[in-house]
This record gives sequence, C-alpha cells and structure tokens, in this order.
Amino acid sequence: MRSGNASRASFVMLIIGLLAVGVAATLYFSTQAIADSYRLENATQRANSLAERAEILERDVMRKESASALAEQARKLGMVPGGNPARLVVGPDGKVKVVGKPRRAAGAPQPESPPPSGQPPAERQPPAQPRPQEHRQPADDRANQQQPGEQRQPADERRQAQSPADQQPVPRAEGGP
Amino acid sequence: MPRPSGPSNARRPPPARTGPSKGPSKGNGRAVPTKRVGARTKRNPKVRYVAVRFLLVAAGVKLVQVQGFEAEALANRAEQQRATAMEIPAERGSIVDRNGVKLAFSMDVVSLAWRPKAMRAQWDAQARKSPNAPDYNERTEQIAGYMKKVLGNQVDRDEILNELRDDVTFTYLVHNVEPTKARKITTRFAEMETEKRALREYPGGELASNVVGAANWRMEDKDVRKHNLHGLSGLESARDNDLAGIPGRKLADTAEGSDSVVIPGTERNIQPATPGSDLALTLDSDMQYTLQRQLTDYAKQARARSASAVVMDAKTSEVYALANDKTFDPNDLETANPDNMNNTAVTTPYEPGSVNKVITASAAIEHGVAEPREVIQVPGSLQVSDHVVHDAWAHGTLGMTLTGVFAKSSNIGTLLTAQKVGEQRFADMLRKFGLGVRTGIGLPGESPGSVPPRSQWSGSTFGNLPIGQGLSMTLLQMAGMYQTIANDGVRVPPRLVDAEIKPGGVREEMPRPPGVRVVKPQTAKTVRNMLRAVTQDQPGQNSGTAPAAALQGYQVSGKTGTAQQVNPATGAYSSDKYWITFAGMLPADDPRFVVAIMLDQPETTLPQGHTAAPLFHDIASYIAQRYQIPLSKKPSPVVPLVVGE
Repeated sequence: MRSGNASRASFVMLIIGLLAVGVAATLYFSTQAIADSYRLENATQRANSLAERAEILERDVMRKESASALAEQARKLGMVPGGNPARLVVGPDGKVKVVGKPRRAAGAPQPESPPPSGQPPAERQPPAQPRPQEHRQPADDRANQQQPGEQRQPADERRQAQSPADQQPVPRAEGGP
Repeated sequence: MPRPSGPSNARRPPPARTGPSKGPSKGNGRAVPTKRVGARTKRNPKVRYVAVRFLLVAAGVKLVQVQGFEAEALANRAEQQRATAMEIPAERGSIVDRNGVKLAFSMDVVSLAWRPKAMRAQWDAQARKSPNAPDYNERTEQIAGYMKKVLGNQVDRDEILNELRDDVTFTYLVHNVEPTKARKITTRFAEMETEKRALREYPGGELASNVVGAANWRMEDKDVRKHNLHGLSGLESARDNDLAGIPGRKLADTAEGSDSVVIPGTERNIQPATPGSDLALTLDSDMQYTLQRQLTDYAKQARARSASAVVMDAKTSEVYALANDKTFDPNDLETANPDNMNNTAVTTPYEPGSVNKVITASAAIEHGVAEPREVIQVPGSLQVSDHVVHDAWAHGTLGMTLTGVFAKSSNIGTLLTAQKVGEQRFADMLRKFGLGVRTGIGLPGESPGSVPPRSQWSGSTFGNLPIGQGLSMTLLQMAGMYQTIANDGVRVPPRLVDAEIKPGGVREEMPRPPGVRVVKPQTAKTVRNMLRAVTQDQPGQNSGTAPAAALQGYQVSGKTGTAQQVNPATGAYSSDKYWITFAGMLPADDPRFVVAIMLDQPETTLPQGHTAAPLFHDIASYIAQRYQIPLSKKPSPVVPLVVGE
C-alpha cells in the first residue's frame, strides 16, 4: 500500500512535471512565434519601404535619362546638335574619300553660366582638314567658333586646354567627359 | 478554428435563458446549494436534482441545435457582419518605345485628407477639459509645419494651414505624396486620412505626348474602391482596356461601423488582380524628340499656325516619330487644352497640293502613257472646264520632260499627263493609294480625309485632283503614298503599337496589316527615280523645286507641295493662306525611311515659310546619322528637265 502510494505519487509528480514542461514549452514557443511575427511584420514593412524607394529612384533615373532631360542637360553644358557631318568613305583600294564638307557645329548659344576668364581656344586647325570630328564634342567646336573661351565645360578639359601642348593645331582625338 | 466567433457567440444564449439561476449561482454551479438558495434546495434535494438535470439537458439541446443545425447559417451571418469585400487595384501597364525606354508608367502614391470640422470639435473639447492640452489652432500649426518639413516644395505651409482650418467636413490636403513620406506624417498624426492612389508618370514630359496621350486618376464612380487611372487621350485612351488590367477582389475583416478599418492579418484573397499589359510602340524616343524639336523650331521660324511631321519605316510602315508643333505635358494637365491636345497629324486633314502629283506620275508610268524622258510641250496656261490653270512661274510654251514636269512641279504638265491617264484610271489610283479611308493606326479621332466620289466629279474636279487640290488627306495618308513608292509599290498601313507585353512577360506581337499592291515594282522604281530630280540643283531651268532638301552623299527623292486654303469668308481659294507640304524618302536608291511634313499657314514670304525642304533636309540628316544609313553608291544622276522653249 505504501509502495503503491509512493509509485502513485511519483507518477503524479511525473505527470505534473510533464505538464509543467509542456506548459513552459508552449509558452516559450508561442512567445517566440509572436516575436517572430513582429520581426516578420518589421521585415515586410522594410521590404515595402525599400520597394517604394526603389520605385522612386527608378522614376528619378527614368526622368533623367529621357531624351528631353538629356537634351536639356546637354544644352546646359553648352552642347549643340552636330548638324551635317562629313563622312569618310574608304574605297576598296584603301583610299579615303571625304563626302561632304566638315563644318563646325553651330547652334543657338546657350551659355547660362557667366563666362570664365578668357582662355585660349584649345585648337585652331583649319576646318577643311578632315578630322575625327565624330569623336569630339560639338560643344567644343561651337565654343571655339563663337565665344572663344566662354563657358567651357569640365575642369579636366580646361586643364588640358591650358597646357601648351594643346595650343598646337593638332586634332585631339577625344574630349569631354 | 475557421469560425471562432460564430459558435462562441451562439453559445451565449443558453446561459441567458437560464437567467434566473444565473444571479444566485455567481459563476460557480457547485457552490449554489451551500449559499443563499441552499436552504431551500437542501430541504428538497429532489428539486435540486431535477433542476440541475433540466438545465443540463436544456443546454445540451441548445448546443446540438446551435452547433449541429444552425452552425452554418450563424457562421455565415457572422462572416457577413465582419467581412468586407474589397477591390484590389490592378497596376496599369507601361508604355515603352521600340528600345524599351519608358514613355509612361504608374507609381503608387497617397493622397492625404483631413476632416476639419470633426477634428476641431474633438480637439477643442479636449483643450477645454485640460487647460494644458493644445487647442485646434496650435495643433494644426504643428501639422502644417511638419508636413512642410517632410514634403518640402510639394506643399505650401499657409495653404495647408488654410485647408486644415477650413469650415468643411472633408478636404484633401495634398495629392501624389510618396508612400514613405505619407507614412511619416500619419505615424505622427494618426488622425490624418489617407487614400491610396496611382500616379501616371511621363518621364519625357512633352515627348510623344500626342501619341501616348495622358491618363489621370478618375473618381466618377461612386464606389471609392473602383477609382483608378484611366486614359484621357492618345493611346492611353484608345488602349485603356489593355493597359488597365483587371482588378482583383479580397475579403478582410473590418471594424464595426467602418469598412475602411481593416483588422490586421484578416485579409484573404479571393481573386488576385491582373496587371495591365505593357505596350511596346514602334516610336524611337530619340527620333521623336529630335523631330518634335526640329518641327517646333521650324514652325516657329516659318510662323506657321500649326505643323506636323512623321517619320516612317519605308518597308514596314512602322512609325518612328509622329510630331505636331504644339503639344502638352501630360505630367501637368493644367497646361493642356483642346488645341494642344489635338493630334493634328491624324485628326486634321488638309489639301496636299503638288505632293499629290505622285499619283498622277504613278498612274502615267503604270499605264504606260508617258515615260520619264518623254518631252511634253507645256503651254503657259490651260483651260480646264470653267477655269484657267497656270504654273507657279510664268512661262511661254516649254518643252519639259515628264521628269521635269514633276521636278519643277508644273501644274499644266501634270494635268496634260493626267488627261492622258483618264478620269477612271486616275480615280482608281487615288483609291489604291488609300486616300479617303482611315489608315487604322489606332489613335483616337483619326480622320479619313475626303476624296470626292467619282459620281460627283464636275468638269473642274479633274483639273484639281491631279495637282492635289479639291481633296484632303491626313499626314499619315500622305506619308503612306510615298511609302508605297518607296516599298516597290506595296502600300502597308502604318503601325504604332508593335507588341503587347502580357503580365507574365509574354510578348504578343500585334498583327501586321497586310500590304496592298498599288503599282508594279518597276513603276514604283521609275517614279522614285524621277522624283530624285526634285532636289536637283543645276544651272538654267534645270533645278527642281527643292534643292534644299538634298542631302550630301545620299540620293533623296521627294516632292514639294503648296496648296491654297479655302477662305471661309469667301468660300473661294485664298491667295495668301497655304498648306506647305513635303514628302520624301531616304535614300532613294534603297529606301529606308519616309518623311512627310505639313505646315499650316506659314508666312510664305519668309524663306522657311515658302517651302518645307530645309526641314526635310535636317530630318533626313539626323536619320542618316542615327540609323547609320550607308551612303548611296553614287549621287543622283543629273537629268534634263526643260529641253527647249
């Protein structure tokens, strides 16, 4: 009877223990689940706001890369449309023929910023000489032609322009940023 | 548990029924007999026994009734009470050009709104109760200040303050707020009402707005949830069904009394929204931009009332650019008006003038009534029916080649040639070139132009039509005539929408309209070669009408046109109001592009108002560079135009 009571008591203890562990575990897991749901909520919110941010940035990029915006930017830099280019035709014998007359690009001047102190034009070769004008910025041409030294664009360009080497009538292969 | 509240609500009635015993029991049934009523029941255990049994049975019966028989109905009622069906807006498709550059797309935005009357009552009441609480004016000042801080230039602080203090029940404070910024504001001021909307963005502004059109937020529907973006003009309107998509539906549990307060986590989809399709156009946004700029500048210089131009692929009739000199910015619809929203290139027909002589030329060559080098004796004037026709320049009888007749745009020479063709064959040719019938490009408000039916021709009609008066056409129809000649005699109706990109990314090509054979390939080639002489620049009388249209290195073929406008006051042709037109192709030896230009009422005394040839030259020059068109093998041959007086 005693041992029966003892075994029953230990059995009850076991059950109580299991129950306690079970309750504790349930509590723990449900707490975790709730905590996770908060984390999920936060993460979702963050993902949403990042997606919104991406959308806005994408819009800004698209606005800036639209033809109208690019043209406006180019105009501000003093660039003008290239006009009629001359073309080099390489014959079967390797001889190069110039079709068309290379001309400096002309356009409505758009110097909106005040002209910096007068500086010599970067180059002065005669326009008749065929030159790789496709690679050069029209702005360069126009600036030379109409307002020498006025509103020249990028700083490194200017540095080049001031170097003595550049004063020679040597066509520069490329320019601009 | 799928329906938690149904059964639990339903279980409540049994205790209510046993109301009389509820008071005494105070929750614990077991304690009943020992307490206040205990004395009576103790005295009669049998009563107690029966009472308890009865209650248990009654509860059991009700339980079975509620859970077993009425469960579904009750659950449905509960569901109906708390669930609200909501529309999930479908995202509107984008419009992109042929290179995938977006011309129109949608963004999620938020409108912020306020209930001034209710908030004033609430906050002023609070302020009266506790003297420390800020009153309505202080609080609105805070709100306006914070909104200015978050939204920057988008709002004006004083305007917001006025709106907040207005004496109305509801007012919108600001539209098109980025969701992130709106959240910032609503987190701080929870009383702010928000409304989700979508904003249509046009990154290019005026770029192609005549074609793309505009869409804006529509609120005509009484059901707020059905408000959405819809097209107003252009393709946004014409293809609204494809772009809009199909809204989905969802259910959400909402707070009692307000369908807009959603209980978090209760949203469930019934049917997801299907986003709209993207439209891929045949436009090239760079070409479009350049054409718009060149045309606008030129029209300004020529002081034209309006102007339109189109650039089309010579083989496929894909429209690369379609421009009017006046257009609007769809991002700012306040600047739009019926005048600048009118896509005159498709809606407004005009008389083409000498550009129409290409039909006479084609008919003459097709039917073998004349040859390019054949010499025609052109008198100084010609009597047709009841009126006398002259050429644009005074001359005696001239020996002109057929090429010369068109290159120098002799009305008399053209009419003599047309007479050889005959009325019926000429009328057939007009029809085959697609005049008087809509091109079906898919833009709203397209005009078919007008060609007098053969049965209604009077004596003078055949003195007008061959030289491009007395009939009208749109710019697209005019371009279509030259496309036919450029495409070896096959007319292909113009296309603007290349493909529809379905939500899954599947590209569905739009059907290509079948080509119509108008003239034999050889005829087209002959006419093309003849019209090269229009740009010929030679001494004596051997220059064409448009040497300015020539492009060095390329053979160019085209035709100038000057048509008198009808003076509405007199009903007769005016002597100072003209349509100046030009249509041509590049390069003439292997046509790639067709360009058509129309200037309405330019000042013809100005060099730019006299002819559109220089504009054609500029457009052709840009096309040659942009699409890297190889130079023609050799320049256009010099041909005699006038061979003797």
